[in-house]
Parts: sequence; structure tokens; C-alpha cells
Amino acid sequence: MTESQPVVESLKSGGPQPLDPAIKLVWAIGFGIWTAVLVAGVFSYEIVQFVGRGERLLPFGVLTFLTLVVGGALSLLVPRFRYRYWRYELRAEELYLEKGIFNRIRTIVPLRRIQHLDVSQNLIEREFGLAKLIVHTAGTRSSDVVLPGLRMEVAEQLHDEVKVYILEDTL
Amino acid sequence: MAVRDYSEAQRLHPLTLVQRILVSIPGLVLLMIPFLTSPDQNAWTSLIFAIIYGVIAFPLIILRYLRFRFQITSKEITIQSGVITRTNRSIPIERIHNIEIEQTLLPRLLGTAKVKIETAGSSTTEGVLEYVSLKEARNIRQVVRAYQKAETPVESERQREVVGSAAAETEPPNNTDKATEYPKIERLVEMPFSLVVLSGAYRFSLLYILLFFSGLQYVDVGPEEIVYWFERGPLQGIARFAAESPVVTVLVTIVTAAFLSWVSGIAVNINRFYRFRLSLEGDKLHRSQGLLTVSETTIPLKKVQAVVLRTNVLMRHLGWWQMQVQTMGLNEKQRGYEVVVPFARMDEIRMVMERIGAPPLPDEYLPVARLHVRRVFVRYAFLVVTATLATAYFWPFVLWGLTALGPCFYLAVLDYRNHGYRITRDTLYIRKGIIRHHVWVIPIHRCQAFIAGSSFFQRRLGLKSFLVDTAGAGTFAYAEVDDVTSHEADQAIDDLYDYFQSWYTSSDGHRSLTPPAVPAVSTARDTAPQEPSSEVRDLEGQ
Repeated sequence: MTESQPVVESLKSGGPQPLDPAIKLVWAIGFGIWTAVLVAGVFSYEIVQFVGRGERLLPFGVLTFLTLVVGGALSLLVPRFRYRYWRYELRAEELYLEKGIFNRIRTIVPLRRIQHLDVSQNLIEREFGLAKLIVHTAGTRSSDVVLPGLRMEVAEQLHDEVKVYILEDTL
Repeated sequence: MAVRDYSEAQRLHPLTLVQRILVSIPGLVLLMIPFLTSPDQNAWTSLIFAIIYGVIAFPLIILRYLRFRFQITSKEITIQSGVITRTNRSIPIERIHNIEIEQTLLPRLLGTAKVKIETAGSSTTEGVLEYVSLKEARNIRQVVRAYQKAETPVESERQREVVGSAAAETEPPNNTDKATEYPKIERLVEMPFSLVVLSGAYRFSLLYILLFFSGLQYVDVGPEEIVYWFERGPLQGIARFAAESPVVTVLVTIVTAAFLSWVSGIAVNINRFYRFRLSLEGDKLHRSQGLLTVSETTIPLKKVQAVVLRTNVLMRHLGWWQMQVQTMGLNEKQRGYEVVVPFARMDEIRMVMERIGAPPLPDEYLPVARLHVRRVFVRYAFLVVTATLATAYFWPFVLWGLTALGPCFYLAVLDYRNHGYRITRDTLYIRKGIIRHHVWVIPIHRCQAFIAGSSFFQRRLGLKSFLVDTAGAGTFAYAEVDDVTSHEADQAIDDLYDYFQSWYTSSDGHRSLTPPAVPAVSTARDTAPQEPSSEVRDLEGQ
């Protein structure tokens, strides 16, 4: 059934694959943006406090600094660990995913249960030529299974290979 | 039977007009309120609105009625509607999955009903006839079914084959004697009034709080007035009593609240399950229930994703259970759980499960890991300790609350004892819960995804949890097996997935992409009779 796939050889049966390493940077930028937003918020709060009257618990700048340090550390560490535990594999009849830093989760999505498929990119991902594959099933918990950090070509190839399995009535 | 046909375009029932006008009146009154209470200049705008209503909305209701037509032919149902933009909707007969008849209070008084036409493909109701007379509503349903049978004799024949024992036994083999033949109706459950009341006695409802507050709005008293009543007014005695003996007051309040919620629980159940009837018609379950709102629902067995048995600690102790089916795909509203047996003994539930072709309940469940007790206890203890210490900072005597750790441990043990699972070739059974106890019966070929996972703490103890995802499952109370050993969880998921695969494998080992024509909950055993117990292969045996 997969012989019909053109050009590149099938992605199946290559063993569990790590994501593309560039995803670490994408994640880090994402975290960085959130950190920046949070720092801006905390900083303006501190300025208001500083200008206003009343005794302060902490000297000026401490909260901002703490936010910056914690946010920065998370932006550096979380992507690295996330990447380390992410694995995916397209097998003959199922998509297999493994992920999680604290809660480690293995998911098997039978291909014949897939209702539809999306390949999506956000702004940062586009910059790095990455994409994510979103697999929708009729289930409640796994109604959209997201596989991030794929090179665009790989995502499209996965999309094409999985597409074959989408059925009219998956219930 | 005197089945009228609808090949001519039909209007709705004339009483529809009366109902629509009645329903629109509150809106008018609302618009008029500022004008009625204080006829100053600003209120003129309200008057203008009211006039607009009279000139536009009122004629619209009549025009809408006049321009609405429906027609049923052997091919399709056509509904023409719309005043300014005309819509002409046709729904092919063979796509119609369900015709639901709904009667709320006002239509009941007038003897009319709303007919909802639902199709398989769309998630919303495709067509609504609002309103026709009740008799006509039933007629319409019969006519459509008759057309469906006539349209696709081959189709329905095939369906009948695969629906398995339940339908095969109920449907008469001779389908030639009548022009319009319907599957035989088998009555499964009927609830006498006393049982409805009894079922309500086991549930507590907070409805009375809602009633109380919505009542307050009508009485129109502000918070200041209430405070005034307590300080100086008629309720002064109560306030003084409460100040003098707070413990008694708290007790009285709790007892009153419990009593009220108990009474309103009964009221809610009477309203919901009054004249509850469940019957099996071919491969569909038909349910009718309700006091103020009578609803008739059809649940195709094909759409059933899982069976859930529910009970609470009290009901379970006295041997009462509720049976629900988890459905998916008829329409958005029907996604989720449908109560098919509101309140019954286990025997009756087993009987109903057998009739709809659900697999039999196992006699025994596999326990989860003993360490589950520890994890649950730690979780409870953490809550108790933090809450106690935080409060004890202000009131040191609350430290006695730490004695609750004993009962916590007992609860954890109970949790462990009530939790269990079992995997057979075609079904996953999970039971769980102390106060609210659930038993899930999940046909393996209905699974959507297979998930195993472990948290940081679980990994330290070598434990894992696993679950299968199903369509239409609730957002909480997941059918998840908590805390089995890592190896056991992996094995369980592997087995489940193997069994899932084998549903799609034909005897020569060739795997087809398309699912076999299997009915919702009935299993392979129904079509190829084998003795069930020997076929059951569980994890223990491996």
C-alpha cells in the first residue's frame, strides 16, 4: 500500500525518530517571548509601585530580575529536555508517539482511526522551515494529536502517507 | 395502519402560530418595561421598539408560517422556508438517521410536537418541523421508516445480519406480508412511578438553590433589606439564636440543606424519568421519558461506543445501578452519555446488556498495583495536612483535623479495592471509584487511541497508568487504569492494540483498511457462536 509513494522512500519502519533539532530553538524563542511579555508586565507593575506611596516588601527591580532569571532558565532548559524525550514513528498501521518530561506518555494512534490531518506552521516555525502534523481522531482525549518539529518536507510526506488511511466512516 | 402520506406540500399545524406568538410576548413585555414603569421621554424609544415589534415581528411570524412547507417523498424530505430569503432544503431519505419527537410544556398543552430530523453526516439537526400535531409527528416517523425500508432492502438485510443476536431474534424473518413492515418492538425497561421516586431518593440535587435565587429576583429584595430583616426585622430571633448557639445553627443548616437537596433530587428525577420506557426496535434503542418535557429519543446501536454502569456508595450498597451508553455522531447534543436504564438491579442491567448485544460483565477484575494505596494516601494526606496546617495557624484547635489521616488511609485502601480492570479479546472492562462508582465496558474495536503514561512519582515506584480513548467520552471520570506496574501497563496496551488489529484482519491474515461491518457493541461471538468464557483471554493467562 505504501509502494505507491513517490520519490523519497517511505518514512515507515525507521525506528523511533527524534524531532528536528531546530525545534529546540523554536521552543526557546516561544518561551523567550512569553518571558519578555511577563517581564514587561512585572516591570511596569514595579514602576507603578515605585512611583506610588507606601512601603514595599522588596526593593525595586527584584521581582523583574527573578522573573527574568526563572523565565530565562525555563527557556533554556525546557526545550532541551522536551526534545530529549520526544520520539515518533510511523509504523505500518499506527502512528506512535512518546513524549513528556515529568509525565511521560506513549500514544498509539491507529491510522484507520484518523479523521483528518493538518500540517501547520506558525511564524517562528516558518522561519526555520519546520511544521507540525496535527492528527484528528474522534476520541476525546486524543482528538488532536500534535507532532511538532518536523522539517516541512517530512511533514508533507507523513501527511501524504497517512492520508491514504483516512476513511469515510471511522466510527 | 392509517399512515397518511406527505407527498403533497404540507403546512405546519395552525397552533404553531399561537405558540410562536405566545413565545414572542415576553420579549415584547421586556421591551415595554421602561415605558410602562416611567413614561418619560427616554421611554419613547421603547414604545418605538414596541411598534416595530407590532409592525415587523408579528407579521413575520405569520409570514414565516405561511411560507413554510414540507413534503416527504420516497426519495427525500423537502423543507421550504424563509420569508425574505427562500431556502429549499432537501434531505435524502437514506441519509436520515433518526427522527426525534420532542414535546415541551406548551406544545404538550396544545397537543403538538417538534420533529427533528437528524442525518449521519452532519453534527447538527438537519431539519426541524416546529410544530406538527403529535399524531402527525408519529406518522411522519413511520412514513420515513417505511420509505427507508422500501428504498434499501438489500442494505437493511445486510444490516440485519451483522447486528447480531439481539436484532436477529427480535426481527421477524417474514418481511413480505405487510406493505410497511417495521422491526418488532421489544420492551426492555419500564419504570413504575414508585421506582422513579425511589431513584430520586438516592440523588441529591442543588436545584433548590437555583430556585431560591431565581425566586429572590421575583420578590425583589436587595441585600440591604435582608440584612435589615436579620438585624431589626422579623428574622431577628433567628439571628440571635444563631449568635447564641452556633453549633446548633450549623447543624440545622446542614440538615435543612440536605433535606432540601434530597427533595429536589426526587423532583428532578420525577421530571426526568416519569414514564420512562426503553424498547429495542431492530438495531435501535427507543426511549421515551419526562413529565414536563416528554422526549422520545432513538439511539442506533451502531452509534454506541461504550457502556457505562454508574452507581453511588449508597445505591451500590443496596444493589441499585444505572446504565448509560456512550454515544457519538448523531448530533452535537447527543454526543456523550444517554441513560438507558435509570435505576435497576444488576440482573435487569445484565439482561438489557445482553439484549443490545453488549459483552457480559466479568466475574472478577484484575487488581491494580498495591502501591496504588500509597499514592492515593499521599494525595489525600497532602490535602488534609496543608488544609489543616493553614487553618491551624489561625485556630490551633483545628490541628485535631490531622486525625482525619486515619480515615484517609482507609479511603485509599477502599480506592484500591474498588479499582480493577479486565481485558478480554474483544472488551476492556474498568471499574473505579468509591463514592461514585463506574464500570466501563469498552468494545476494543471502538478504541480511538491507546495511551500509557507515567508521572514523575509513578516512575519512582515503577508504576504506569493506561487508558484507551473512545469517541464521545466525558471530559472527566476517564476510563483510565491508574497505577499498574510498568510491565503490566505496557503489556495491556500491546494486547489491546493486538486485539484491536485482529478486528480488522480477515481469516487469511490479510488486513483490510476498511473496518468490518460490525455493530456497535455486539461482538464477533454473536455472529460466530462460541462459548464466551473459554474465548476470554485475559492478562493473567499470559
